[in-house]
Amino acid sequence: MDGEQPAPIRSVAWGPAQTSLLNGQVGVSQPDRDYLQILVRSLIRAQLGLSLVCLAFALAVTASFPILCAVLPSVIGVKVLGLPLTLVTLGVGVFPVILLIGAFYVRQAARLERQFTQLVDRADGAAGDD
Amino acid sequence: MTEWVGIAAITVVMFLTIGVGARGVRIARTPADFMVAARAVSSPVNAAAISGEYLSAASFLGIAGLVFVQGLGSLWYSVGYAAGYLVLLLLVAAPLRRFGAYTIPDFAGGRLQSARLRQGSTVLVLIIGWFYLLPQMDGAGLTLQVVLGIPYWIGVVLLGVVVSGNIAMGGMKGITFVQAFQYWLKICAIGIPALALLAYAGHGSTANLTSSGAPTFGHPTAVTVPQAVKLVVKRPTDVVATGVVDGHADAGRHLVLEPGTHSIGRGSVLKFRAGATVPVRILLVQPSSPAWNSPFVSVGPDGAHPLAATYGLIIATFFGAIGLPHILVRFYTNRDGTSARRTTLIVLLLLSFFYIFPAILGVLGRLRAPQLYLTGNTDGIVLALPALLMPGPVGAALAALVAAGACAAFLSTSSGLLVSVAGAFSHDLLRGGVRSFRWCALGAGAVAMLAALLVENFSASLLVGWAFAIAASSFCPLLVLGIWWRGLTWRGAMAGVLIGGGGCCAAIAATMLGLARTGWAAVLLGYPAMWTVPLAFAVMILGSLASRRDRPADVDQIMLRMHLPDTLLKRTR
Repeated sequence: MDGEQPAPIRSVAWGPAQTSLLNGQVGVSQPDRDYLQILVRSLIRAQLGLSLVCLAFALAVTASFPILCAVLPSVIGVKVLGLPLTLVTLGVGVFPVILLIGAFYVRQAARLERQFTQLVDRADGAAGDD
Repeated sequence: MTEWVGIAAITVVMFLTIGVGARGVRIARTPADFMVAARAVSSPVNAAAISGEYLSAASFLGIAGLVFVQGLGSLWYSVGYAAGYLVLLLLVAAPLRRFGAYTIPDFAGGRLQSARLRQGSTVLVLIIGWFYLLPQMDGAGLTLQVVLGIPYWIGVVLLGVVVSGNIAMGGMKGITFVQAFQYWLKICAIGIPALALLAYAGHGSTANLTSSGAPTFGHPTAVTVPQAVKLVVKRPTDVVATGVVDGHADAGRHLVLEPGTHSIGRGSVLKFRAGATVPVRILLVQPSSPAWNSPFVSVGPDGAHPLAATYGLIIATFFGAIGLPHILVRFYTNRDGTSARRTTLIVLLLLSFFYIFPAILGVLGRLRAPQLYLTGNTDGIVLALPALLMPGPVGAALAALVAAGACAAFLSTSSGLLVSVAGAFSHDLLRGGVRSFRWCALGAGAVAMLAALLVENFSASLLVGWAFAIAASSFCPLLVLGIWWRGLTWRGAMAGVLIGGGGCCAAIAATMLGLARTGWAAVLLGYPAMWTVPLAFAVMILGSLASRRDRPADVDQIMLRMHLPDTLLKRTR
């Protein structure tokens, strides 16, 4: 029942750009829309790959500490400047790591989008020459 | 004298918050409010607003208290609360902003074209919202109890009445600047006392941080017991007691507390020698916990499988922030997907900055104020610490600052949550409209108030951790798969939300009722995210594959809208 009747999308705010996109009135000409779809799928795949790599790295760096301590219990007793290693890593150390991964991701994601935009521009330019 | 400074600070915060909020007349979070905000708010202000709403009583009071009582493994709460925003940045921030939904039910309904899924998600928003509201009320009751000396329930009722009344009157709408102000208030209220106390009392022996056993008094200490307590003594301890010990009235008598449980009368004074082992209030006794300086959390009297419990907590907090109902709405005040990413990165910076301070306070408490193990209350450590470490007017002023910050913490978070809960209730389940919203705000506030009276003895961080676990095992897979996978269907999503979220709720209920206290059962039910999150993902994927024909016809357009770079989107105008 619900599957057939599209639910009304209340309070989803679409700007004019998004509406025209949905109605298929994007700035690219009609034959290029299929090409755009293919391009977008590759963009999505690239973005997802980037996100997953960053996520895996973040988990490997931060969440590996308990395993390390379970395998080598002597690590727990290590002191850094007189303070327990756990305090130094979890209290301070992980935060710069998280921030660096976040900053790296933001730059890389923007770079992927720039490359994609250039690809579309090139396709647009080719279509415009006809 | 001391009380008056605290009372003044709390009153000022209450009136500032209500006063600034009440300038808005319309009820909260109509699309128009956010359309306006979207044009006016810069990323740093927006990030401060998100952080201000996010930093709740659990962050402000709970983490330091857990570090003090249970050990450094509790720092996983602060790491997870911050890392949750990294996961949010990586997986959902920009596409979600481009999609344009205000709430998770909006996203579910719009992405998968199903009214039924939308209603199902609304119910879950209510459950998560209430779970998150409980510790706020709990924190309010406790703060007012410590600062004003009034009973716990009065504080709970006071916060409930102030917040729900204010929202019902139309104040405290999602004003970005109020929430941004709350962040800076909170960071000052925890940062200044933490640094001042660190400079004043931070030097000296660090023995209590590394000893695996119970902490000891660093110097001769006289402890006044403000209310009758039961203490657990591990080894024979010399004290000079004035007051009532184990039913005997003593006046300055020297005695030895033998290992076991002792009851101390109200108002008694116990004098301990330097180096004496600190007895622990029975409420704070950890039945069996891993070493204080280990990175593990534990559950149950046998403290079984601490490693598994730790990963349960890590999964819940890392993946839970994505699915919190009051967070998503803030993303709409970003101009576009790119600025949503920038804002999230700044949020990450602001949160990282904040979370250094609860750790400092918890550690300072163990180092320099071990008498709090006798008289304290897990979530009350932060409030009690300034006056203990720094007697005199400076300490009183710092204590007032902390109380004001705690007040800001539960006011801002509970307002944001109550608006989300009441909005979801009136908008998605009832007919909507201003009248219905008002009644829902009052009703939701009353329910949270009643429930908060029942959970006085649960730590704020524990309750918030559970809210994260439910969000991580229901909305997180819904949003992540909905954004990245064309194949998600409403049937698959519904099955995943029901089984993952439902399983998580059932596990938490079983833990609260005390059905499983030992072994693997206690770990799997107390930290359910470790199995409910993968389960929810698996059910959603399999369910969607089994119902392929339910894929929305316009899924390609929706994916395009979520992932097309902002520059291309804008050019089409």
